[in-house]
Amino acid sequence: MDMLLQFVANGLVSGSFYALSALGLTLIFGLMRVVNFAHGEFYMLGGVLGWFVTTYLGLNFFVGLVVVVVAMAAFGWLVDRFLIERVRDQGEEPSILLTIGLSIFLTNSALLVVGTAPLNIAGAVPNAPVFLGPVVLTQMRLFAVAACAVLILAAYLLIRHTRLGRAMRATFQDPMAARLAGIKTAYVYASTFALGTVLAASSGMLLGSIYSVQVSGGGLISLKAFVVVILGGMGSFAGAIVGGLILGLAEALWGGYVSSGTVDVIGFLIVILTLIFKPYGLFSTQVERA
Amino acid sequence: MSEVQNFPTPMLSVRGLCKTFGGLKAVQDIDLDVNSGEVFGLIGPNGAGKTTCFNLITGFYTPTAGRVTFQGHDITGHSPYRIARRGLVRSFQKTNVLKALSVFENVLAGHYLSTRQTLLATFFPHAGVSRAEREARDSAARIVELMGLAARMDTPAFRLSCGELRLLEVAVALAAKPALLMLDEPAAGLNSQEAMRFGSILKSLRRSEVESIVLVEHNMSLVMEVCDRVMVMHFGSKLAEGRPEQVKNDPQVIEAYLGRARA
Amino acid sequence: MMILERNTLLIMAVLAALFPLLVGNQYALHIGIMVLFYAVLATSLNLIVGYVGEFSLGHTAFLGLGAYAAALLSLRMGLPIWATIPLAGVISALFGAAIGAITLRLRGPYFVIITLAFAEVLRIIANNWMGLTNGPMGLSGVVQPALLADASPLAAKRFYFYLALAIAVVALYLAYRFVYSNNGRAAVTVRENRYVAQSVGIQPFAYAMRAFVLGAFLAGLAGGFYAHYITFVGANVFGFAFMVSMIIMVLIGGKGTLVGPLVGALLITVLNEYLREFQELRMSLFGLIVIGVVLFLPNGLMGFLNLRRERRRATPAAAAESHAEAPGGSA
Ligand SMILES: Nc1ncnc2c1ncn2[C@@H]1O[C@H](COP(=O)(O)OP(=O)(O)OP(=O)(O)O)[C@@H](O)[C@H]1O
Ligand SMILES: [Mg+2]
Repeated sequence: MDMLLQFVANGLVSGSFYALSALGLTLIFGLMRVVNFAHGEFYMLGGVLGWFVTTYLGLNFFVGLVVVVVAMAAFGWLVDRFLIERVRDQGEEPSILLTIGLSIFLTNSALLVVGTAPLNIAGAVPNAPVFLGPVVLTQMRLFAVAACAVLILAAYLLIRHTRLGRAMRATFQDPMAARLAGIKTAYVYASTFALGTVLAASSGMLLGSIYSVQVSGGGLISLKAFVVVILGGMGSFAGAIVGGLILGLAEALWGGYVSSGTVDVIGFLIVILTLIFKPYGLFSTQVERA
Repeated sequence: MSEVQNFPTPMLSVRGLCKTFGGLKAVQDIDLDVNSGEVFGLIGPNGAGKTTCFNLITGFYTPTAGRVTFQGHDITGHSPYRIARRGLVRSFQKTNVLKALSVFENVLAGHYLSTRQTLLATFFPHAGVSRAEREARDSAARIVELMGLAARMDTPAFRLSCGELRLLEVAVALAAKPALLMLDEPAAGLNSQEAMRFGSILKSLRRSEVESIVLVEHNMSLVMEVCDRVMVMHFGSKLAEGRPEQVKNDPQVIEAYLGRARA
Repeated sequence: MMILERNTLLIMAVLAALFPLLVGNQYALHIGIMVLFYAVLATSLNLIVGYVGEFSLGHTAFLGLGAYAAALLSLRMGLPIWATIPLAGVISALFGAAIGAITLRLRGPYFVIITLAFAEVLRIIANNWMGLTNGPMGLSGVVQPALLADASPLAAKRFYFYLALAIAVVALYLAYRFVYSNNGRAAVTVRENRYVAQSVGIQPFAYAMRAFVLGAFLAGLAGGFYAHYITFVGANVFGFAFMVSMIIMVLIGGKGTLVGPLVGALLITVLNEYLREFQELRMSLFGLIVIGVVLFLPNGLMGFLNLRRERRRATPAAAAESHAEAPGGSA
């Protein structure tokens, strides 16, 4: 029983990172329909950049996070303007290939620059244990979860309550009408892509402060983000959060009770079962129109 | 209708056909019979439910209620490809062809049913396979000529004009050797001269290629010219049915069309 | 197109058959063998990407299944190579039928993700099922054919070259027959327009399935060959690296043509060897190549050549009109 609570707590911690990174993908994949296989690399770049600014430039964690957010927003914006823009509205295949190419390029270029060793990011708070009844967490984990929650809330407020958010919703409902209404859709696409990139990157930096940053781990992160987005339903904000927590919990329980070597299989089983039985996600009521 | 009694069993028979989308009754309680040898017109204002009827009859939508019988077989709710295999082939209102392929290849692709083969024969073809292939190629060339597209035989479909595309669509449907051909606004986008030429092609098809035709069309002079019998739909229901000139002078029908014009 | 492709393929086969006679260098023969191995893989993936028109990122599932099947049949049951490789193909095809039955109901991004998920599940199983696959240590010492027992290394390479060539010939024969038959036409019809396909009597699922299973069979043959040639099989046969190579080959060459993936296999295998000294730099370059191909060569080399051929034929008569409409816009 004690173990169960501990597993649940661990699952919720990693689930909140899955949620944050999947939230970025649900914008890019769910709304923009860009099948972004470089998402895990955006996450990884967030970690690497976070490591660089805290370790080399000696910035403190919060300032570092702000720098990462700004830099990755610019990066996401440029990727959209110069690459994604050119295959927009051509179906998903070119975007799949483009982002696979981008992910190969980013991973291996990062390997060239920083090498294969895991990178450690100095956290914002000490790594002291916290006892919550039978459950043990560290201050750093609690902090990172709180930071995740703050970022998720910020993204929510941005989408719901700003002019950019309104323009985004209009554009993804009906790009033509949005254009006619005077919305600069190219700008909206780039902003959305940048926002998705930032969410992935900040998740990468936060998780990097708990564990460490693995340059070559991007592929698996992408896949897990896809699992969460498909589980939660394409483009669904709440779905990404619930899906992320479900994946985190399922992995923690599988790792705890079944086998720790095969934890990654659980995400793939989830996605296969979801696609067989509920192809539009657990929380979607969408039907295909003939 | 007196004509119905002249033909003991209609080729296509639809009874009580209904389809609702959410709360919208797109098709309500439609009965219709298409007899062998006849060109049957289905007309009505925009949104009347004609295309939905097509989709219901050819299996692209499942009816909410009602039954569809074709040549004595109940085909209600069957998949489109099974219905096509029985000899009921339709074209689409929104042009649907194989854009990347040439005109000839499009029509050859339409010959799918006459060139089906086992997997074994695919990998180790026997004489029958190459004969069927040759016949399909000859037939494809003939159909392309019949539709007046001979000059465009090897042109990729995406280079065709709007009128040529409509002809190609009919050619692809003909390639499947249907007994009953259902055309959804095949003359949309043609000018009146092209439409009339299309009308005479249609009439010749009925004699040489297919037994019967169902035609959805907004071009009234074309409908009057080629149809033996016409049914008018309005808001999903049947408004009138009869010979073209009869229907044309039906006050209800005039009201329905004028009502649309006023709106 | 059909005649042109057939003649090109025949010429390629003859050139390939002469290659070991002209070259007495083990390293060059090894490269030749890898080109043929990838030619089979790329051809098999092309059946799905090019003819079903769905993007599979899990094709390594079938390469891996074939490789493990051949290794296990050889190591555990002592079957000879001429039995293990065909059986590897059959086992892959059976899995292909099962996986296809599930995945081919989905389209677009969903298909991409679910095929990838299957390959990953298989990879994780291969990495963890100690009893069957020996886990991360993999299966080593896959048995060599008896007739190589006291052959020189060069003779052994020649043997494997001709074995690979035989498999490639079988693969291209089957693919050619499939593509230029009613089956291939039906698959292309489904790819181009599902509505038209159904309305002329084609059951879309059936043709996607046939191409998928044939693709799985051919990838399984390639996997079986790989097991014997490399003599070692580990979970990396299910990995993304093979997948990336296959995709690049199919795309650079031109999907939906038979010659294209072969050209892609040749180019990429040779380029890969050429850049071998620059490990990560090589992969970075690969990434850039993929991006470049998508942006500048969307239909691959074959698509590019065909376009030029058509342009030349079309001038001057239809030159004006060819500007009128651009390809690619689907209804
Ligand atoms: N898949 C669908 N889902 C919801 N509503 C639909 C669907 N298909 C058609 N409808 C609605 O059903 C009604 C009938 O449409 P239908 O396309 O059958 O009309 P039509 O007679 O073919 O019109 P037109 O002459 O414009 O082609 C319309 O109100 C249309 O909006
Ligand atoms: Mg209509």
